[in-house]
Amino acid sequence: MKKILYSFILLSFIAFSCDEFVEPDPKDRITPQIALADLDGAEAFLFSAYNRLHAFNYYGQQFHLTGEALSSNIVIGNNTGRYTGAVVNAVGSHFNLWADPGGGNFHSLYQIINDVNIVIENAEANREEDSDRADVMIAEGRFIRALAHHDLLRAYSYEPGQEVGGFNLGVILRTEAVDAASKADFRPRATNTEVYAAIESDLLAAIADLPSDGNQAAFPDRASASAARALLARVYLYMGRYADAATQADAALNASSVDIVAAADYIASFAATVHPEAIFQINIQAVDWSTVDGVNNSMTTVTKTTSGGAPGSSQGAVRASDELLAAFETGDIRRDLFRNPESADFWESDKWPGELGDFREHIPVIRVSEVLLIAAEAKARSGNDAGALTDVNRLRTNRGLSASTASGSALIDLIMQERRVELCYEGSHYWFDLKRLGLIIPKPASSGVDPLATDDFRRLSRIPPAEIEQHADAGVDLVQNDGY
Amino acid sequence: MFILTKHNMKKILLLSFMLLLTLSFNALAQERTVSGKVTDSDGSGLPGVNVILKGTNKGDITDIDGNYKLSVPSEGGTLQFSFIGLKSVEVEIGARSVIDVTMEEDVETLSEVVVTGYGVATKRDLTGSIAQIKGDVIENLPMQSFDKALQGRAAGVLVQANSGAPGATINILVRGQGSLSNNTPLYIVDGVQVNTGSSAGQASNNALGGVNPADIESIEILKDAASAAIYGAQAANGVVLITTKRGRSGATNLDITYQKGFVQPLELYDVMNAQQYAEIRAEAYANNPSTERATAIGLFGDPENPASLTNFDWVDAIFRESANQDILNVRLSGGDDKTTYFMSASLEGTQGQVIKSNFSRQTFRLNLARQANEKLKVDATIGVVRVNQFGSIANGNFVNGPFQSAFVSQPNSPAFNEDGTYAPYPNNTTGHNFSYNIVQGVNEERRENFIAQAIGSLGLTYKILPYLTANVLGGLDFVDSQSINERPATIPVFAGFGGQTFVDNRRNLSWNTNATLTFSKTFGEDHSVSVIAGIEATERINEQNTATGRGFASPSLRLLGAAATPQAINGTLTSFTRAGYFGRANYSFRNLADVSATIRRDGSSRFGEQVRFGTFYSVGANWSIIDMGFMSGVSVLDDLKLRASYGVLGNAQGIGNFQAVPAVTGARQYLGNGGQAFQIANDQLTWERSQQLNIGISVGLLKNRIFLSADYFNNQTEDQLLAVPLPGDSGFGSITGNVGEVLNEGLELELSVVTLDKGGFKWVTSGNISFQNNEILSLNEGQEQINPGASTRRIVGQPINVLWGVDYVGVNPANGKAMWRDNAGNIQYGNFAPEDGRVVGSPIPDSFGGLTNTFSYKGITLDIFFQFQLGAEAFNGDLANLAASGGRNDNQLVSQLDRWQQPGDVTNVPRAYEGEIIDGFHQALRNDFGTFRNTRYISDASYVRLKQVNLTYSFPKSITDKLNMRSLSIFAQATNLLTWTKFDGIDPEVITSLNTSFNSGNARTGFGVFPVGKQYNAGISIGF
Repeated sequence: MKKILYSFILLSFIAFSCDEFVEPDPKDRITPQIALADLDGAEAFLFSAYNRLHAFNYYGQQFHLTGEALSSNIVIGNNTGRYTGAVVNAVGSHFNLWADPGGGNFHSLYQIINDVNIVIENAEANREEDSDRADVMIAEGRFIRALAHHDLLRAYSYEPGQEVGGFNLGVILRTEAVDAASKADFRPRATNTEVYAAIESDLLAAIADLPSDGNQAAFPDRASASAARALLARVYLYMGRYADAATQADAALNASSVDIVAAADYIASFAATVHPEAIFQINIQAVDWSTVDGVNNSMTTVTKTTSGGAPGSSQGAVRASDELLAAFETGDIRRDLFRNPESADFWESDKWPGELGDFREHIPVIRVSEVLLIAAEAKARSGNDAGALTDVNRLRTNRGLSASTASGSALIDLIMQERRVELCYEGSHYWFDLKRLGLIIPKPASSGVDPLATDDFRRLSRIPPAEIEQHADAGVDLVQNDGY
Repeated sequence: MFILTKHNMKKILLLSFMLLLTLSFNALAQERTVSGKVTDSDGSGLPGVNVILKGTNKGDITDIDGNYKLSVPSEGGTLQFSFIGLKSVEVEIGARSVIDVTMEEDVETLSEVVVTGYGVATKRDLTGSIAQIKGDVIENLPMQSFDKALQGRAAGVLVQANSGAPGATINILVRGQGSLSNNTPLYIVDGVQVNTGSSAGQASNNALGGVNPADIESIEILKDAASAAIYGAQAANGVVLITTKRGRSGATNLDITYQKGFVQPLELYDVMNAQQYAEIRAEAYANNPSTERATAIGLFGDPENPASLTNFDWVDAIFRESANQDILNVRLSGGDDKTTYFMSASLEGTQGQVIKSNFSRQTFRLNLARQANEKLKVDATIGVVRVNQFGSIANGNFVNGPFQSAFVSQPNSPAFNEDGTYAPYPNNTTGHNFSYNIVQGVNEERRENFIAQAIGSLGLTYKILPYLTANVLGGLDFVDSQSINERPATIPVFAGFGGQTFVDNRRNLSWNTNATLTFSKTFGEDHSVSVIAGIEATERINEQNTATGRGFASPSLRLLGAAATPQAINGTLTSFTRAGYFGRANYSFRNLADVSATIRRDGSSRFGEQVRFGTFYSVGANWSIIDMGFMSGVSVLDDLKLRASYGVLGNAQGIGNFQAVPAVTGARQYLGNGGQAFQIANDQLTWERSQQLNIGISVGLLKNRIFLSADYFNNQTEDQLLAVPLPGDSGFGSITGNVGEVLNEGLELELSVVTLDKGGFKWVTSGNISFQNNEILSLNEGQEQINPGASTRRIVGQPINVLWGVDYVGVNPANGKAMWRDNAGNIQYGNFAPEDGRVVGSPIPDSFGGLTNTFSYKGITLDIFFQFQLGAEAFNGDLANLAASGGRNDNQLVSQLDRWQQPGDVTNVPRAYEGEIIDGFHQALRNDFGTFRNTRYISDASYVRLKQVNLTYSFPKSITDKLNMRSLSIFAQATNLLTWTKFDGIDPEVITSLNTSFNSGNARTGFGVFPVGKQYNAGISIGF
């Protein structure tokens, strides 16, 4: 009987001592307390945020081309299912920035915003380690937060003063870190002016603490004071605060080390690994992409039919519309950026050649030519034709065109025309310009689609219906844009 | 009390092994020998009869002629003779040394032995519901894993192939889907909790293929609380116990089986030839004001001038006419009264139905049992497997997947140049399908898996007292796999970066160990009691390291070391542990009734610290009414028994290993600096709790020629591990919580009838059918719906898997445009909000089952087996490419020629229109597939399949004796021979399995699935 007793004792020992055996032992993660114990930890979230800017639904691809397809700059070349809805303004085919579309390099802009909110809170918490470094990190975070909030606002809301039927809702404003489920509250949309105020405040603070181009070791891959000024100039332009826009644009131009390239260097500038006009760009490394990201989703594969010299290795999903090509004046060097592939009757852009290999290249977000055009437009719209003319002619003479002497509304039209041809295939500027100014949005004749009237509901993107439903379930009224 | 860690856990178990060994060396008593012959009522010898000295483990099994030999104590004892289907006999030995016995048929066939959790029981004593499949049913089936062979064979067990690729994973559901997170059962091979899922990357590799199906003695599926509760927290999805064959004492048997066969595709899509394609494309271009007919003729050829068109059959070039299969099984078994062994080896080579698809496997098994002395028995099993697979890309709208591209590639653009080299695709400027020549791609891309797997166990049984046994078992399942994907620069799309090699190394280790004490005693005539108590610990570790290199000097240089650019590396390691203790008690009163009670307390590393342990239990009872006195006059009934059980079981399959730990992981980089990401966590995460009720009845009629069994089950699973949505603007999509409740109830019927038994001719019919009702009872606090997606939406009051969409009304005869009806009955051309949809189907079948008819006459046996599922719907994504009225660059189904052409045409195929978007409305609502499906591409996926036809001839003894063989038989069989279905794709089985929310977004859409194939085999079995 002793043996039986021993066995039972042995069994019960083991049985009652399981607690430690079932303690989780993760090797692939650390606790938030360790991860965020210092400025290095907070900065890691900043790197995550910078990286996410090149999400394919954002600056990695769709944010550049969706507006081109929704307006009249591009048409479908090869039907791979990409932009086929947007070119005919199908309901729901629009910018997709709000919710996480899922998959590797697709992110919600709110994921970027949350990354930088974590940076801002934890840099503040670890300030005693190095106060100056904390300030710069916070400033970079606020720059990225302003960029993301503004891009959301442009896609989902009317600009102040351009509201249709008084619909003045902006987007949801997120300025506190969500690091626990309890902080992920359901909230309604702020008004457009509330969001603009937050963006302005972020950028003013960022300008104060960000390094100059020369002091930013990672320029233009990380934010600098001139980048924040340039972005603030853009924001003021959208707000209709033209005098402020002109001031900030001039300040950015004065502060920045980059300048407009000469006409002779223009074509080559897009094949350079760092665009010489970039005030802020997103750096993409080979490890950032899965093995098929390049061929499936890069700017190159979507806009060109060949890549790396191998014919047929690129999708060539979109081509320039006849209307875009017609918008170039004779002699414009920028027209030469469009190539007519051998034995084909269409034109494709060489703006995104994938010069780093495997369709990869760094992504300029703000180029100095845009800032120059912001300065010109803001001055023209605030009665300073002379200043405007100086700025726009500085661009034209570096693009193979003669200096203009236009004034008044003709000058404004000329500047808007310059914006269209200078910034095509980048950041959907043409679409956003038409929208912010409350203009009819033209469509290519070949599309057979009617132009979008100034009150067409498809001028705003649809908030993901799932978000509306989930907010409603939580008892919060997240208002969908009209018409959807 | 000391603290248990992983390290000292192992020590303790080692210690227990040693303890048992030292306990066992007692002196041996003096013995003598008894022998004899066992015969049936006709006087012929009965082989395989168990002869046991009562009250001991000593025994023998009769040889081919019915002879046995056994050493017994000098004072004698009682011999027990038992054989399935025969009445057991007990004989006092007395002073005799020769004892011959005649055994008679047992009408109570229920006395069969079944394997239960941590033990065995006779079928008649069961209080729970256990399905048993005998090894001989699946032994010679040409299937790579045993799970596939279960299809239609067990009531309440739904088995669906995920893929027709040889060696691929299988979807098995025991009593439906009670969980919103994961419904995978627990698999245990000879006591080892094994890995499931796919163990390699480039082709689906079923981890359960680590067991050669021909080595299996029996499979038991524990379906209800009474049978499964002993596995506590892992039991809610059912438990599948696999027992491999053991040797038997007696003559050495050598068995060799060889079969050869071929695989053919089912009926494939009928796609257009070059002329038909040119015609519909020209019309589509003409109908769209932004394109012109002349452009189409320039791109696709002139339909009016067929002689100018070249035609290439892509389907023919991708699918094999017949793929070969060879299977060789060799096994050697035998033993003496102390030691038995079973050794087997097998070779299999099976080609898939598309080019390059291939599976080859070599297996080896050694099962050894040794009665070390009267008290100690050692039982060791080891199975080693090596697999090599060549995979095919499937389950998504992938241009480099043969099941997508073979059908959509343009027929006017040949795969080959005149000199036999690969032609650039397509031969026009459309850039169709990413310019991917699928024939070149499949032939030149390497997608290969190399897998080595070992499943082994060592068990010690020590009889402390005649009625008390201790048992210790340790086992492991170790899988090492390497997957290699090479994309050479000769394929144009990979030329830009000079080709690519991807290597994926994985190592999965799963070990478990348990110790039990079993008490079993009969008190007087009427009462018998058995009690088991034990402990168990499990750990599973999954490790994966991958590397990608690009830029090779030559397409022939493919090793990572030859790559110019190290493109990417990745490495992950994850693990979980589980430990628990358990007990079970059974009490039997005569033959009349049994009651059982089970309890288990389990802890898992997956759960929050405060809720890491859970207690699970069950109670069960049966009552044999037929044995009650008042039934003695009822002669038509031979069996009548009721059983019932209730219990609470757990499920922890559905969450990640560290989901309850709030943490920060490495994620992304910028300028070479590592980034981090927040994993918000719910530290209150715990088990899904499943309350399971089972009520069953068994009836035997007409001397048990008709046997009927019915079981009703009602499982309510609460605390579902469910993604609770967070606002998208929080930066997070959802967090896992324990919310919601699912009802899963059903009725299982089993019937077996000896239809005819006359003059040596026997016809046995047996079948089963299961009806199931699945319903979400509640979700996150008051929510009616969550996950608004086309096939992920959960709706209270609906099954857990539904297809959400709008109805296709047809084509407006006036203008040829597709019309749809929303849930309010409004007919529109498009612009639907998600809430305009309704539940338009569910991939969960309402009922399923199988029917076997076995005819035997003399040595000939014909087995005809049907398998079916009824009341399921599936969305076939392929049609979005192929049934697009010619509006796409994809080749089209011939049926699209029925398109609307002029006002007044009545058809279901809309107008041919380039781009498919007419006035802003997509003709198949394709841009909305993520939000809702539509009935244009949904069809009834019910089917009845002639799954298996097997004809076997066993040569009579007169011939085998002359050939010096123990047995000789030849057989021919066909698999998936015929299918009756209304489904509008290739295979309704695979697609219903893939359509559910438990698959990836790509797989759910039903694009490019790998359908099952037809198989024809013939073979020979020889026994020496």
